[in-house]
Amino acid sequence: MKQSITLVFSGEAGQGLQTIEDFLVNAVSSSHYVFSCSDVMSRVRGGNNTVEIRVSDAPVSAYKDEIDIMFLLNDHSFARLSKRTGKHTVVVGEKEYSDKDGLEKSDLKYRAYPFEEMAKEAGGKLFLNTVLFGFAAGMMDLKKEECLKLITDKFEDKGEKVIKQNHSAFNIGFENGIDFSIEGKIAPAGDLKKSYKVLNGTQAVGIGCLGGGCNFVSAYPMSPSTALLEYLANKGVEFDVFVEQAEDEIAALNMVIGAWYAGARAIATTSGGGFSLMEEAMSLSGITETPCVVHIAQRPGPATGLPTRTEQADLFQAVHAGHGEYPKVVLAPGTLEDGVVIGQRAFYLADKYQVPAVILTDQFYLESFGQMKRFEMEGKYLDSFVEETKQDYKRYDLSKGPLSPRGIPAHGKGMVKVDSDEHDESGYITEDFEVRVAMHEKRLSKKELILKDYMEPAFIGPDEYKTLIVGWGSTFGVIKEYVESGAYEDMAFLSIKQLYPIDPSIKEYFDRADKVIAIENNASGQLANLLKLELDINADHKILKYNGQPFSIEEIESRIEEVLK
Amino acid sequence: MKNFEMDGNLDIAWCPGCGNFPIRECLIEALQELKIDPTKVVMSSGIGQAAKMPQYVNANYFNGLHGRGLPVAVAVKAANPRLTVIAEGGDGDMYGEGGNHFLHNVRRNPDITHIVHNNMVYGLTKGQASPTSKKEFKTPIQVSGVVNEPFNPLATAIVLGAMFVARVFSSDKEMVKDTIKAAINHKGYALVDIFHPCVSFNKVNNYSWYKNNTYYLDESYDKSNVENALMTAMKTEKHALGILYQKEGKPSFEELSNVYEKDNTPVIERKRDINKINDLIKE
Repeated sequence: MKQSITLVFSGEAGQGLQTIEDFLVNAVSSSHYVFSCSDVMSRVRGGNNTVEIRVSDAPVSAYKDEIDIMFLLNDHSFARLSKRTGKHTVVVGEKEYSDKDGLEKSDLKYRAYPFEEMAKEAGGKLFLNTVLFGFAAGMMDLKKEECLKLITDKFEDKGEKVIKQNHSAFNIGFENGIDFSIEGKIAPAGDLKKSYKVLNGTQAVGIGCLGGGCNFVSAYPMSPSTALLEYLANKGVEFDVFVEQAEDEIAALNMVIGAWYAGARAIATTSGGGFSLMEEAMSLSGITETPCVVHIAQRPGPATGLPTRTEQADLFQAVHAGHGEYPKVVLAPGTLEDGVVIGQRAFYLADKYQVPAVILTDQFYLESFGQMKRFEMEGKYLDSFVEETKQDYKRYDLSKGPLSPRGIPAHGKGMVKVDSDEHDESGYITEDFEVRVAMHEKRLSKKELILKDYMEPAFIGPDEYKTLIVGWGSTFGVIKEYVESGAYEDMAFLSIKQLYPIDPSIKEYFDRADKVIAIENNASGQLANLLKLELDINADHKILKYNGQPFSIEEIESRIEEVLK
Repeated sequence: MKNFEMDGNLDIAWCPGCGNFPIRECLIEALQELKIDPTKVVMSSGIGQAAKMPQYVNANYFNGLHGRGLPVAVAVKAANPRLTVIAEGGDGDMYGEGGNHFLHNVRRNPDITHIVHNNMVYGLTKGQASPTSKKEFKTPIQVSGVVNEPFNPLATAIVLGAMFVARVFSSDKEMVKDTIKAAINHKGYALVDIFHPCVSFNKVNNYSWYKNNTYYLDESYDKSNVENALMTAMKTEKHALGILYQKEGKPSFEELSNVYEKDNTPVIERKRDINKINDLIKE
């Protein structure tokens, strides 16, 4: 049976919670399995933000509700977490926090430590997060030298003094943490660094984009999509990526399409609201058969919604994006490895089939850290489908089937003429009804072709099952953990990675089940509805969550029990 | 020599007498005289009567969405700086629907030529006010006359740091052609705003109105003086014709991009090594 411990650091924006997460996840990951996620308010200072770090002796990638050890970084960081406590919960913080913010009414175990004093001893209050890193590291018996090296690496540019002060802060924390006894200590799982890489969803998708040949990115900042723009900007010089912050999302996707037209492999990254502004350009990509890739980092809507939280409510927006009818590809990663492969595939499929491709993630997926088994990316996704043009080149040549060879300007003797109006084979505007029908059918028939490259869903569970759970994207980790816990022997889980076009062959998974439960982070069950629409699959139950938070493992358990009782 | 003129009979969708006809001839002559290879020219346009121009010129083109000619053009140039890129459209397309792109691409200073046919009215949608329509201009929508201040593209471009700002009138074909040539030769963003009449929907700003309400900048005019250029652009009782402002030497948007700092090979021609990307997983 898997053992895990859940640490939560609770403070406010600006207190360096991300630094603690970054250090601790990296330090823990060399000897333990780890997963971390954060809950952040939409503000730069103040409020209440938390970081959860789950340490385990077996692979883990789910969020847990009940906190084992809660670290308070100020006197107003408990109240929002009071419901996430249990009889094992230990609260750790300054002595003076222990009777404030609702703690006075609770009978939780409270362990007081003068963390601020310790920080001051190391050089100032600023070092509080390094003290806490040291404390947690000591508590879990992590290798001190490795932790110190992480600090050295992180502050390399800041100079000797800063490194020294941080080392001292770490050491003070570590000494205190060693004596802190925790129930059910997690056994080390061996040298995991060799076989696993620690990263978050953003980095996984970013690596995938580069592995898919991305050499142009244009985007308008919008949480939680901006981190991908930052990732590509940071890698831009090394990997030849032209990076531009557009004046708005409309410009961003039109630039991306212009770049593809010129021969680039380009991406726009945005969130639901920004994507709404891009939809006309999606349709442009559709009719001009100019590929494009868009990353939608979902967050709760409508409109501004909950900007820093998570949701899976843009599936329909992605699948039905834009006016008119045209084929497209929609892919959603569930694991970190999926993020890499889907990043690659999006560019490959867009190029191969001359269609828009959407990578659909969400805040929880992008900002959660986990361990990815190291693997070698395939080079085939870099294959270009651009062809050299001849003098009499026709961009929309109908004689070659639905995929007219795609030329780019100045690559050959021909001219590449592309039009958003309905057009003839040469790309000139036409109002000839027969040509319209021929062009429309040519474009729409690509949907069938795309299915030849269908990305198979992930299936977990026994070959024979009675209950099938279906999900997509970031719910993968938590549902997998539940199904693998063995609560029901006759339960299986299907996580769909390519949501559109969807291969009719997956219907077979549903035919074998007596009962289908769809689990989604939205209020209407968009995947369930899509399965009904596309494949006439009926979900018997929908387990939905739309408060802005991801599903916790406990919640999956209780809500499945509820529908199966 | 390759020809920018189209083969065969052209079925042009403009009204007889439209100012777009001479502009088309001037553009083709300008490109011809510059001896550019048509396969290395990309025209990008949005939607509108003027935006149909690429249909009638033998070059590569991307005729995209209303208002979005500039974002496509700047991206084409960034992806392959060896191309000659021209964004072309009307006043509604470029200053109205695409107004935000106009502002920010002037700031970017990409090495593209921006040709805007300015007839102070919406033609394709049949006669509504455009951003440059004069006050009191009556239309089927603005039935009591336009009340908004007309947009001043030249002054706006100068204020935002454009290094080539010109206005010409479609009837002076020699000037239109020479100005387009100068704009294409200018390194960086170049705006050519072309006054021309809409014979179907603008009965006020007709040929004689333009003749009576414009004047030529004389030989003593110093086009390198930005303050003077701005003052000239701000005077709208009578509109100046000519290159109001031009100064060379400002690096272009693409040149300043860090991917072109050390290597001017277009990004589209650079090969990606999967092993280098795999190192990101190994590290």
